Amino acid sequence: MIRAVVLCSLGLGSSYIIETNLKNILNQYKLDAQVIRTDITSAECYDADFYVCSEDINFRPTKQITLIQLEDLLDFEELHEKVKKFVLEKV
Amino acid sequence: MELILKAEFLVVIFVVTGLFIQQKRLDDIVSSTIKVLMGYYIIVYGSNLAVNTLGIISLIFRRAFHAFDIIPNNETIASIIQLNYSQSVILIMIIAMIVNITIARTTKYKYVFLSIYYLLYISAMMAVITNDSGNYYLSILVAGIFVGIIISILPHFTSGYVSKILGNDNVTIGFLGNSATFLGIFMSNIIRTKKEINNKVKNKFFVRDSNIILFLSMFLLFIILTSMVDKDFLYDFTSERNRIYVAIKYSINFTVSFYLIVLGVRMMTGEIVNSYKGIAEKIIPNSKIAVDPAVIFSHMPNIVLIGFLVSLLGGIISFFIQLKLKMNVVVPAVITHFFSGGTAAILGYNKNKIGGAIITSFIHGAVISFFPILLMPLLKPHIGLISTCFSDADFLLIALLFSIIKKLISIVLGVIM
Repeated sequence: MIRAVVLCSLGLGSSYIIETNLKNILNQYKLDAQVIRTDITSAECYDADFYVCSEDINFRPTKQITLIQLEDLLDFEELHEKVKKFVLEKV
Repeated sequence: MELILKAEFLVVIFVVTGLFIQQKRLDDIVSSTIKVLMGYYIIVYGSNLAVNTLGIISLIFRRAFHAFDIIPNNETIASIIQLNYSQSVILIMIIAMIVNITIARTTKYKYVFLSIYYLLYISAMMAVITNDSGNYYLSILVAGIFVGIIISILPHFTSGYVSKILGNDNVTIGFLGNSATFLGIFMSNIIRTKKEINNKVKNKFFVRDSNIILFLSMFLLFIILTSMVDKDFLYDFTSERNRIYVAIKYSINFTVSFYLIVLGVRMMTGEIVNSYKGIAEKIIPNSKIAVDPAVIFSHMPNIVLIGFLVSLLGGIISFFIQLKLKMNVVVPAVITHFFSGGTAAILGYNKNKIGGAIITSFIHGAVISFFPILLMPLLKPHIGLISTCFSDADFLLIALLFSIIKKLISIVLGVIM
């Protein structure tokens, strides 16, 4: 079971796009995954295998985590490439 | 009969219907139902905390500045309205979503409005301004249809600019600061030189944490407020003698209320939007979506920062003008200055480069600092003395437009609405 946390400033708006794309990609790989959407304040309260956010929110994690940062939230291919890299390493 | 129309039941029906159409498993449907109800009640608890905290803030503000304060915050006012008008809010929201899907299916206005949290806030405002009407269900229906039309058309104002930035028009923004932005762009047309800036240089120091930004601004406000009143007054209303402690306590509490409301909205609308998108994709063959404006921020992060600071500057200058002229005083809504001011700057930059970005966001900041003063009288008969308001520019225009349409319809139909 893979746990992913998607975050943005408020966890309301832009992270929805990332969540939709991510669920799409994880379904493609037939992975059993739980995706949590949250804001930047509480992102690290959730333990996850990897975290996804946009590059420009300047998320600075305080502990060692796997962070995927996106230059363009709407770019499905960018997310796909970065998640694929992670999935192939782990699974 | 009454049970079916309770707000909680309505959201559950909507969520379950959407998930059923997408043929989700039973355990998914059950967990989504529980989540949407939890979100609903987290909003209730957050708004109770907001009411208590705002009460103290207003007391101290009025004592310190001898003026009425307005602290605009979409989440706070929408959730406070939902405490008393929950059925109206949810009904209007659901009708608006149905109308949006219908319009996207049958007309050339194909954007499905996925910023459901904004839809929730607009519905809350409508719930309050239709309250004085005659036939309850008729007025809810009209309000819902009105909101549905509004959210179908609104994304088209900015879709031209956004499609230039994104390179396609399948996705655009669901933005509620159009009025302030276009006024600012109009005024920035006097700029002759079109100077560009380097958006590749990343700023790494500004962490976009809304809760921290909100806390810092409220804390600053509180330090100023508590230093202007005497300690006995503070003690009478807060049972505390230490000014700094009061500042910290109430700023944190206000931030916590905001955090809880956002958490509840996220949980509730998260389930609703999944169902909504599922229904839209089944019904509309070539739909396009309108989403949170922050999706275009990554293209121009430095413009966003400039937009935030200049919009906030417009808000702070307006604050002091209002103090001087002894008007109602609008405390700068930092989060709106960030998100909507940043969006305004990007749209202004698109038209007139850096001059456009600066002038547009400054006008935006000034507009959202004066519009709440005009909007309060429309809301006040229904929400009493709560000193908060909607913070985005378009809320006022939507309310005014509805008042005009209501009058026109009642004249035409001869029916008291």
